[in-house]
Amino acid sequence: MKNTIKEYKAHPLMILQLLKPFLFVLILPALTGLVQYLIMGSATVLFTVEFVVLGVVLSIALLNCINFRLKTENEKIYINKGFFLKKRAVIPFSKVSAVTVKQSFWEIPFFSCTVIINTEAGSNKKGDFEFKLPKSDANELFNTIYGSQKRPAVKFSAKTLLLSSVLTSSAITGLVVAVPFIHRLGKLFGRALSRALFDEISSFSQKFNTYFPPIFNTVMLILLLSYAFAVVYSFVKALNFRLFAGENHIEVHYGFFIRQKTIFKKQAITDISVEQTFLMYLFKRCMLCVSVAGYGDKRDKKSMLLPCERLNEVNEIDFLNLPYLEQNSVILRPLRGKRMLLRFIKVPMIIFMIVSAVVFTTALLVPYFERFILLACLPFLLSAVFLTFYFYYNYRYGKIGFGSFVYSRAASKSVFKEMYFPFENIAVIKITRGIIARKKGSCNVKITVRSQKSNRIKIWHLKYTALKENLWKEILNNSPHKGNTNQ
Amino acid sequence: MPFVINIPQKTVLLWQFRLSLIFAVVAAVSVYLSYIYLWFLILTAIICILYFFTVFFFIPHHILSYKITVSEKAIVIKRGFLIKTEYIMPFVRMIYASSYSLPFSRKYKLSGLVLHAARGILIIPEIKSDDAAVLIGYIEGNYEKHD
Repeated sequence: MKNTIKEYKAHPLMILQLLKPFLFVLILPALTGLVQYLIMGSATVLFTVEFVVLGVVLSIALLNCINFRLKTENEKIYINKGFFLKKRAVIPFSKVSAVTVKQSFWEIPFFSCTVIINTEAGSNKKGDFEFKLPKSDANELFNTIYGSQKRPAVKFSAKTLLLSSVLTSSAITGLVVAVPFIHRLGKLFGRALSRALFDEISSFSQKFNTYFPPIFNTVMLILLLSYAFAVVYSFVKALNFRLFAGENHIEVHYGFFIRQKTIFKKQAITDISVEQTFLMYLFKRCMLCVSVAGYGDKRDKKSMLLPCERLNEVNEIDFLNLPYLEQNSVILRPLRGKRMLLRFIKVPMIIFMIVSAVVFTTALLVPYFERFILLACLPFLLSAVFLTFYFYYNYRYGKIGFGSFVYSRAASKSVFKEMYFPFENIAVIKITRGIIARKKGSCNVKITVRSQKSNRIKIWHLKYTALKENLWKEILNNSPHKGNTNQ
Repeated sequence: MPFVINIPQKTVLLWQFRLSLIFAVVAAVSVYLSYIYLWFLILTAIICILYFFTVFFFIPHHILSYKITVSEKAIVIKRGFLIKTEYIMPFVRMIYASSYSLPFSRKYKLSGLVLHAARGILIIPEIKSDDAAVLIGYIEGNYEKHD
C-alpha cells in the first residue's frame, strides 16, 4: 500500500445521525409546538424550554459534525471526533475486521452514505465507528483500506434467493416485522388498520370448519400470512445479494431499500458454519455463513455467503477459497446403543408423556372442552416431537474432530450446524460429566469460539477418555510460541 | 525496557472539581425540595457527608493509587487502595487505542486513554498529554511488531 495521507470530513447529513437519539423525545415535540405556535400565535412555557434545549442539542451536533476528521496514513486510520468530549482513535488497517458502506434511498440525492468500521473490540449491536461521508470519499476510503483490485462477481438466481427465503423465514419474524409496520401505517392514515385487518382475518377464517375451535383457524391464518410476509420481506432484501470473492478479501452486496456493501479479509473470519433450518434439512439444502465482527451482526441479518446450496455440494465450492473448510481425519462421535439413544431423547419423551397424560385426563374429566384442551396442549406436543428429532439428530450426526482446525456438527438453537474454525480460535472448552455419565465414561463438551458473537457448539455423550486424549494432543501442539490468529 | 506512567496531581484536582459541581447541583435540588418536605434536609445532610468522603478522601486515594507499567509484551494497570486490582492487557490482544479529553482537562494538558481489546476495554484516567502521546506511539509500534 502506498504511504499517502488522506483526510476526510463528515457529510452535513451526519447532523441528522447525531440528532437521531433525540427524535421522539425532543425534536418531534418541539416541531409540534412550533406548528401550534405558528397556527395559534401563542406558546406554552414547556414549548419554550423544549425549543431552547433543541437549540443547544442542535448546536452541539453541528459542532461535533464540523469537528469530525478521518485520516489514513501509514496503513492506519486516525479518527478525531467530538467538540466538548474530544476522542481520538488510532486503528491499524490489520485490526479492522469489516467495513460497511450503506446508502438509504433518501441519501441518494445528497450523495451521502454511512460508513461503519468494525473491529473485534466492538459490540454486537452497533458498529465501532459509524459516520456519514460523501459517496466518493467513502469509496476512496474503501479502496485505500482494501485495495481497488477487481474481484470476480458471483450472482445468485432469483429462484435460489426465493428458495432461501422460503426455507429460512419464520412466522415469528413476519409478525415482528409486520405488526409495527401495520400499526404505523394505520397511524399515518388515521385508521385502526391492525384492528380492521384482524376482524377481516377472523371473519374469513370462520368460513372453514375444523375439529378445533374457530380461534385455531384465526391463529393459523395469522401465522400463514406472517410467514408469507416474512418470505416476501426476506426475498426483497436479498434481491440485490452479490458476492465478490478475491484472493484475500470477500465483498458482499445486499439490501434493497438500504443498499449495503461489506468487505472483510478472509483472515478476519473466526469461524465458518454450514447451517440448516428444519425446512432446509428436509430439502437437503444449506446456507454457508461466516463469523466476522461487523458482518451480519444485527438481529435480522444473517452473515451468509451462500444463501441456499445443496448440502453435499458445499464443500466442493472452491471459488470462495475459504480457509479450513475441511474435515479432520480423527472424528469423535457420541457413544452408540439403544440405552444411549434413550438418554438423548429422554427429556422430550417425558414432556410428551406428561402432556399426553394431561390431555387425556382433562378430556375425560371435562369432555365438553376436549377440543380446546387439545388445542391448548398442541404446541407442547409439537415442541416435544421437534425436540425428539433435535436430540435424535445430535445422537445420529453429532461429531467433533480436533486438529489444527476443529470440525463439529450438532443441532444448536433450532438450527442444524456444522462449524469449522482454527483450534487457536477456541475461547473456552467446557466438559461436563454427571453421575451417570461418569459411570458410563461419557461426557458433554461445549466449545465457545473466540469471536464477537461467541458462537458455541455442544456435542453430547462423547467418550471421555478419547476426548481428553485428542484435546490434550492438540493443546500441546498449539503451544503459545506458535503465534496468534489476530492478523 | 519497561517504563512507568504516573497520574499527575492535576487529575485529582480536576475530578474533585467535577464532582463538586455535580454534588452542588444535587444538593441545591435537595435544599430546594426541603422547603416543601422537611425530610429532604436529612437527604441534604447525607449528600454533604458523601461529598466530603468522596471528594476529599476517596478520589485522591483512588486516583493516586493508579500505577501504569508498560513493558514490551503488555501493559499492566494496578489500582485501588481498599481492594487492589491489577489488569494485564497483552499487546497481542489489543485491537486499538483511543484518547479522550474534556474542556477543563485540555486546559491543563491532560488526556485519558481507552485501550480496546476483543470483548474488553481498559480505561486510564487523565495523564499528561505528552505521556499519552508517548504511550499511544509505543502501542502503535507494538502493533507493527505483533502483526
